[in-house]
Amino acid sequence: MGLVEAIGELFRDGVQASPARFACELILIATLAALLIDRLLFRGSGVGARRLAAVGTAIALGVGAWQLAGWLVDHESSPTRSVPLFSGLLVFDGLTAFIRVYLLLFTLLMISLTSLSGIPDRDDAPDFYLLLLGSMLGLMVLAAANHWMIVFLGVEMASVPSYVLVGFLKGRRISSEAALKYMVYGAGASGVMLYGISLLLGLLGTGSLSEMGPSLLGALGGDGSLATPITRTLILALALVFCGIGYKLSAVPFQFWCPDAFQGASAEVALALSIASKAGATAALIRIGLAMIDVLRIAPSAQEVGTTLGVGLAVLAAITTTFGNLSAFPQTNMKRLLAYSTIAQAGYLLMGVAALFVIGLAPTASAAEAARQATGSAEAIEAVLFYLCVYCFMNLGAFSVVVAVRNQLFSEELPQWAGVARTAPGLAICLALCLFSLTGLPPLGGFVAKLKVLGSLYNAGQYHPVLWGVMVVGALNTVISLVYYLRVLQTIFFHPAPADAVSVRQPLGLGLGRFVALVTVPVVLLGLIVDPLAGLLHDIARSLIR
Amino acid sequence: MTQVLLILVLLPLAGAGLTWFLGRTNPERARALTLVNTLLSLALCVQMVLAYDPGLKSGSEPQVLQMVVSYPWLGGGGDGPDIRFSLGVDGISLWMIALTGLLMVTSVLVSWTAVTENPAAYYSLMLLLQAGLVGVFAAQDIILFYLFFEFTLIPLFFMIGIWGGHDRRWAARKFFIYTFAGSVLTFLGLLFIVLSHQTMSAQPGQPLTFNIPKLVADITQLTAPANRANYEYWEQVGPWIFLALFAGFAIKVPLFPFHTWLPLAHVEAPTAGSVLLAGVLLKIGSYGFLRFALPMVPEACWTMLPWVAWLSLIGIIYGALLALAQDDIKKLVAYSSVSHMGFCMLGLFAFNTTGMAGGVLQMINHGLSTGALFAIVGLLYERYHTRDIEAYGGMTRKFPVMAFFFVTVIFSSIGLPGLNGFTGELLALMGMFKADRLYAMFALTGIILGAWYSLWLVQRTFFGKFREPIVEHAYHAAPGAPTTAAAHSHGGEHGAGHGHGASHGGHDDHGHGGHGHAAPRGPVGDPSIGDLNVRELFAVVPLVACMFWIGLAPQYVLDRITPSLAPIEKRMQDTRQAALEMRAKRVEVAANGAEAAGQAGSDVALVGWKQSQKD
Repeated sequence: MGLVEAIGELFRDGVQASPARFACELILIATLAALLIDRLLFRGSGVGARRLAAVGTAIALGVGAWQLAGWLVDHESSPTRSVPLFSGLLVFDGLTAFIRVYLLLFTLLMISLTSLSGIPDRDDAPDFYLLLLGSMLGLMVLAAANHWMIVFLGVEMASVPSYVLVGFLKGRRISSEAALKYMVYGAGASGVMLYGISLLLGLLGTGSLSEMGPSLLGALGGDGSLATPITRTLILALALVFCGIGYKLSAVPFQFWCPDAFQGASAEVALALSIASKAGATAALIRIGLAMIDVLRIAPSAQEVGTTLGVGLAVLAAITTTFGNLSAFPQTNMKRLLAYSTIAQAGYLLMGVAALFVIGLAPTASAAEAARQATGSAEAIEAVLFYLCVYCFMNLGAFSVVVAVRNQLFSEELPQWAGVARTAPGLAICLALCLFSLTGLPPLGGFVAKLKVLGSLYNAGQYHPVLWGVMVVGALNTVISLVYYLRVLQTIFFHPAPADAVSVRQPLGLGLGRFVALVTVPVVLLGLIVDPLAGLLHDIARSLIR
Repeated sequence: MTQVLLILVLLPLAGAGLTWFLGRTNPERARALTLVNTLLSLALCVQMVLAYDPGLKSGSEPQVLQMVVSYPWLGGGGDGPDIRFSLGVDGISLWMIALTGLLMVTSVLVSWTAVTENPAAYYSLMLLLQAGLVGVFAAQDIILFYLFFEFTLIPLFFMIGIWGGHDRRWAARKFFIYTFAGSVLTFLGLLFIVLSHQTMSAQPGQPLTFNIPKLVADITQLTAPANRANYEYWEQVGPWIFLALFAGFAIKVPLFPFHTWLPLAHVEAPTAGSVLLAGVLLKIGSYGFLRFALPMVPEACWTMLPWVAWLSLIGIIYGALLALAQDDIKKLVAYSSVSHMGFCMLGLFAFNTTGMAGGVLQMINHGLSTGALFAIVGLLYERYHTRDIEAYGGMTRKFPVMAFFFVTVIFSSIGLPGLNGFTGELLALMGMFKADRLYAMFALTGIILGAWYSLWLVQRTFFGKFREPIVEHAYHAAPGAPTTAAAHSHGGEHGAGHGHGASHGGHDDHGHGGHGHAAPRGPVGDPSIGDLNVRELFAVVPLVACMFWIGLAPQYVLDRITPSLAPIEKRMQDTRQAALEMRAKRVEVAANGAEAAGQAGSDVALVGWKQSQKD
C-alpha cells in the first residue's frame, strides 16, 4: 500500500466516524494548545493555567460521559463489539469509553487536589498541567490502541511527561535523582518493548491486534506446540512487550523505579503515577488478552501459548503482590510505604488479568464450555475494572491525607506523624477507612474488589490449578499488608504526639479536608452499593467478549 | 416483631453516630446516650427471646430459624452471585445475641468512671462493636457473616490500642493480625464451599447462593452417598475445607497452639473490652464450628476429631496450669478462658445432642461468668490500680458485697451445683462420655484444676490476712467516696500503715483488723475506697441473676437450644453411617479381587473411632 493510498484509506472511513469518537482526545489536545498559548502570550495575566486545564478536562469528561452513555444505549439496541478508528489503528468500544471517563475524572480530581494543596505554585502551574494532561492523553491513546505501534506510542506519550513531573520539585536533589532513575528505567523498558514489537511484526507481518489471528494461523500451519520456533518467538515477543507494560504497572521485576520515584516526587505526582498509569497499562493488557483470545479462536493449535502466558502472568502477579507487601514492612516514609503498597495492589490487578488469560485462552471443548468460558472471561474483566475504580478512590484518599499532613507538618516521615489523630480525627478516620479498604476489609470497596478478583481466580483455577495457589497467595497477602497498614494507624492513633511537634489541624469541612472526605465517601459506598457500577462494568465486559 | 434483628443491628449503629456527634463536647451525655441505647437493645433482646417459639413448625419439620429478614444486597440477577442481607436466629444464635445485649450493659456501666479520655469515641466504638457482634450471630449469608466477623475487629483494635493498658499498642496489633490471618483462610474455605456448591449442583443459570441454611441443605443432599461422584469429591476436598475453616475459628476460640494472642489482648484491653472479648468474641469461634464446619463438612469433622479433641484437651490442662502460675488476676482469668473454651469445644465435638447442648450452654456460661469476673476485676483495678494478686488479701472484710458476687461468680465458673456452670459441664461431660470415655477423663482433670486455681485466687485475694495495695492516685477512687485532698493524704498514710502491717506477718486476722484502722464493723483500710455502689451493682447483679436462673431452671434455655442441634446431630450420625457403609463396600470390592480400592484416610480414622467405641 502506497502512502497516498494509505492516506486515502485513512480519510475514507475516518472522516465521518473517527474524529467524533476521538473527541475527548481532541479536546485535550486543544486544551494543551491553549495552555501553551496562555503560557507564551499571557504569562501571569491570562485566565490561569489551572482554570484552563480544569475547564478543558471538564468538557472532555462531559463528552466522554456522553459517549459512554451513548455506547450503553447503542449496545442495548444493537450489540456491536467495537468500532475501528483511523483505519483500525485505534478502536472505540466499551473499554475505551470507560477508561477515558475514568482517566478524565481522575484528572479533574487531581486538578482540584493540586489547587487545594498549592503544588504547583502559580509560576509552575502551566508546565505542570501541560505535562499532566499530556500524560493522560498518552494513557487514553494506550487504552484505545489496536495496533502494536500505538501501544508503544501510548506508553511513550504517557511516560515522557511523567519523567519531567517526577523531577518537578526543582532544586531538590532527591527529586532530580528520582526523575533520572525513572527515565533511565523507562528508556530501557521502552527499548525492550520495541524490540518485542519488532519481533511480533516480523513474525506476523502485521501490527494490527485484530489481524494477528489469521497471520499466526498462516505462520504456524497447524503445529502450535511449544516446541516450534514460531510459538517460542511469539512467547518471547509477548514477554518483551510485557516489559514495557509491566514497567508502567510497576510489576515485579520492573518495579525498582517505583519507590524512589514516589519518594522523590511530590505526593501529588506520585498519586498520578500510581493511579493513571496503572489504569492505562491494565487496559492495554486487557486489550492484548482480548486480541489473544481472538487469535486462538482462529488458530486453536496455539492454545499452549495462551496457557503458558496466563500462568506466567499469574505467578508474576503473586510475586509482585508478595514482594510489594513484604518490602513495605520496614518503610518509614509514607510515600515510600504507599509506593510499595501500590506495587502490591498492581499485583492484584495483574491477577485479574491473568485469570482473563487463563480462562479465555483455555481449550474449548463444547458449546456449553465456550459459554462458561465467555462468562468467566467477562467476570475477570469486570473484576479488574471494578478493582481499578475502587483503587482510584482509596489511593486518592491515602495520598491526599499525605498531602494534607505534609502541608502542615512538612514531613512525610511516619514517626513524626504520631498523634495526628488527636488533633485531626476526621483526617485520621478517612485514612483508616482507605487503608482498611486497601487491605480488603469489609464492608469497604476494597473488599468487594478483592472478592471479585479472588472469585475470578477460582474460576481460572478450574482450568489451571496454579491459579488456585495464586488465589491463596492473594488472600494471605491481605494479612501481610494489614501489618504495615496497622503500623501507620498505630502511629497516628495510639502514639502521643512529640512534645515539640506542630499539631495538625484539618477539619473535614474545609479545603483539603473536604477533598479527603469527598474521595473517601466512594470507598465506603462502593462496598455497600455495588450493583450500579458492577452492572455497568458487567455490560462493558460482556460486550468485549464475543 | 420480625424486624427485631434488623433493629438490633441498626440501633447500635445509629447510637454510635449519635454518641459521637452529641457526646464529643459532653462526656456525660455520651455515657447516658450509650446506656440508654444498650438498655433499649437489651429490652429488644428480651423481647426476641420471648418471641422465639421453640415448637414452631413449617409443615411437619420444626422451624428452628425464625425472625428471618432478607433483602437483596449485591448482585442477584441472572447467574451471578446473589448476596443477600439476610438475618435470622435459631436456638443457638438467639442466646448469643441475648448474651451480647446483657454484657453490653455491664460493659457500659463498668466503663462509667474508668474511661476519662475521649469518652465519646470510646462509647461509639463500643456500640459499633455491639452492632458487629449481633450481626455475626444473626447473619444467614456467608458474606454478611464475614463482613460482621471482620467488622468486630476494628472497634476492638482501637479500644485496646487507645484505652488499653501498658502494652496496649502491641496487644491491639497482635490481636488484629492474628484474628485476621485466620479469618482470611476461613473466608477462602467458605468461598470454596459456595463455589463448589455451584459446580456440584450443575444447574447453569442459577444464581450463586451464599445463604447458609440453603447451602447446608443443598450440600447435605448433593454429597449424599447416592451421588457417588459428589460424595467422593467432598470426601477429598472436605479435610482441606475443614482446615481452612479451622484456621480462623481455632484462633478465635482459641485452641491450644493458637491462643497466644489472647492473654495479651485480654490483659491490655480496658475492662469493657475484656468483658466483651472473653464474653462474646471468643464464642464466634465455637459458633463458627457449629454453624459451618459441622453441617457442611461433617465427614472431615469426623476425620479431624482426634486432632481437635486433643488440642482442646491440651488447651484445657495447659490453660489451667498456666492460670495456676499467674500472679496477675486478669492474666489468670484470661488463661482460665483458654481452659474453659477447650472444654466447650470438646462438648461440641462429641457430635451428639447432649454434648453439643452442653457445649452451647458452656458458651453462654463462660460468657456470663468470665464477663462478670473481668467486670469485678476491672472494678477492683479501678480502685487500686493494680492487678497483682500478691497485693490483695482479705478483701472480704473491706468489700463484703463485692466479695459475695466474686465468690458466686467463681463458684459458677467452677461448676458448683445450683449455678449455671454445673449444668453445662454436666451435659458436656455426659455427651463426651457417650462419645469417648478417654476424652471425658482428661476433661475431668481440667475441672479439678479449674476449681484449684479459682478457689486459690479467691483465697489469696478475698480471704486470709487483710492486705490492701498502696493507692498511688487516690483521686481515682470510686465515685461517691470523698475525693478530696484529705482523701489523698489518707492514702499516703495508709501506705505507711500497710508496710507496718506487713512486718507483722504472724498476726492473725483479728489482730490485724484491730490495728487501729477503723472500728471493726466500719470500712477497713483506706476509707476513701468503698464497696460496690449502685451503678456497679447494676453492672454485676443481672449477670449473677442469670447464673442462678440457668443453674436452677436450665430447661427454658435448653428447650430452645436442643431443636437447633437435632439436625446437626442427625447430619453427623448419618455421615458416619454412610462413611462406614461406603468403607464396607470398598473393602468388599477389594476383597472380591476386582482391584485394590484406594482407602481414603478418613475411612481408616473412622474405623479406628468405631473400634474404640466397641472397646
